[in-house]
Amino acid sequence: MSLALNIVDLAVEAAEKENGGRLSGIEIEVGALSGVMVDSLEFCLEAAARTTKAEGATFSIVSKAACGKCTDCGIDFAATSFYQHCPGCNGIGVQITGGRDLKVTAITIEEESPDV
Amino acid sequence: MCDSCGCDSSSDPVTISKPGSHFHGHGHPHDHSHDHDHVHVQSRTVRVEQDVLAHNQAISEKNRAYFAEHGIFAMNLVSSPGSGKTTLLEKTITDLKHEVLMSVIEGDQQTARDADRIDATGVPVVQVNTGSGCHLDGTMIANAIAKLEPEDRSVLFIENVGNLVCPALFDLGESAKVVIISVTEGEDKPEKYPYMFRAARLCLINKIDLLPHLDFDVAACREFAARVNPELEFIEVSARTGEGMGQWYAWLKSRLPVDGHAG
Ligand SMILES: [Zn+2]
Repeated sequence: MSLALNIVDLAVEAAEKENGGRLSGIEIEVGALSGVMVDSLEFCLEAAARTTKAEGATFSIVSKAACGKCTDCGIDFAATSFYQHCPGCNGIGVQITGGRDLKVTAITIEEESPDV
Repeated sequence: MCDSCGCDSSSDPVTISKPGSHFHGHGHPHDHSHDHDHVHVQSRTVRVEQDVLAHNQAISEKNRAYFAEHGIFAMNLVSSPGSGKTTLLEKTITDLKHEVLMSVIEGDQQTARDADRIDATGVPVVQVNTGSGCHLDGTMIANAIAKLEPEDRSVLFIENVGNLVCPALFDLGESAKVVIISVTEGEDKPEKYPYMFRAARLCLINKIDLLPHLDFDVAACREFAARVNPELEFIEVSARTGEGMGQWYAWLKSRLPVDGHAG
């Protein structure tokens, strides 16, 4: 739950810096190896947004595939776990180079208008 | 993640919900569309690129620097509810308190019950209530340290909220995560919660005195865990009978600063 609250806080903060309007959309990037369960996160976000400027906002969760790099043969590949063998040389010298992040990547703000 | 961690969403929407006049959500939590091409004329989309955990990470690095400076070995104890974590901690403190300087930060959602048990052992303890939060974070630890003022060259136990999901994602600045599972749980725990087992340095398998009455397969459990984290160490213990506890104490003492401790 607190991850969802953190996300809403970050988005609301970012909106304050813009024009302080209501948030109608929040885009979140979830790395495949971030440890975050997307289903549960979605569920929590809606609750976390209540009574904030992000109440009722649409959450777009973009999954980002993870990638690894082999330190033996140097190839880059799509990673599915922290401990996998290199698909090129079957070595174990594998570094995860991406797909661990959890980020708020974009927000959609309602511009202030007289009838709000 | 709330679904799986016990803190969960079922209580939160009830307590924080106060629908405003502009709320146009629908009753179903999963009923959102996954693109926003249909934005209003007055809407504007801004790229932000904010890392959600960066703030916590920055504070936890400060905690880590503080621990290093003061020679404090901070352990983040994580487990599911019912693993016997508090009992294990009580026993550890009771057995080691004349040899090792120790203090405790107790994390719990609502109660101070565990903190009271630790307090009875005579070591300094600070309670952090996380409310609906399902884990401790860097800020809570920073505030707790300020109150607790752990002694230089001591061991600090941080008893995290009973949950194996969220605590794995939040660094506290600790020196090591120790995951505690008991043989009354399934041996597939490491497979269900790979992030925690990956983040941990040591796994204590507790309540081994009950093994004769259960069909818990210790070897299988260790194998599952080794698959997610080949470097994970294991110690099998019973906090109740004391079996294996000596090995755990040896592990703990081997982590202390070389020139530390009267013992
Ligand atoms: Zn390779």
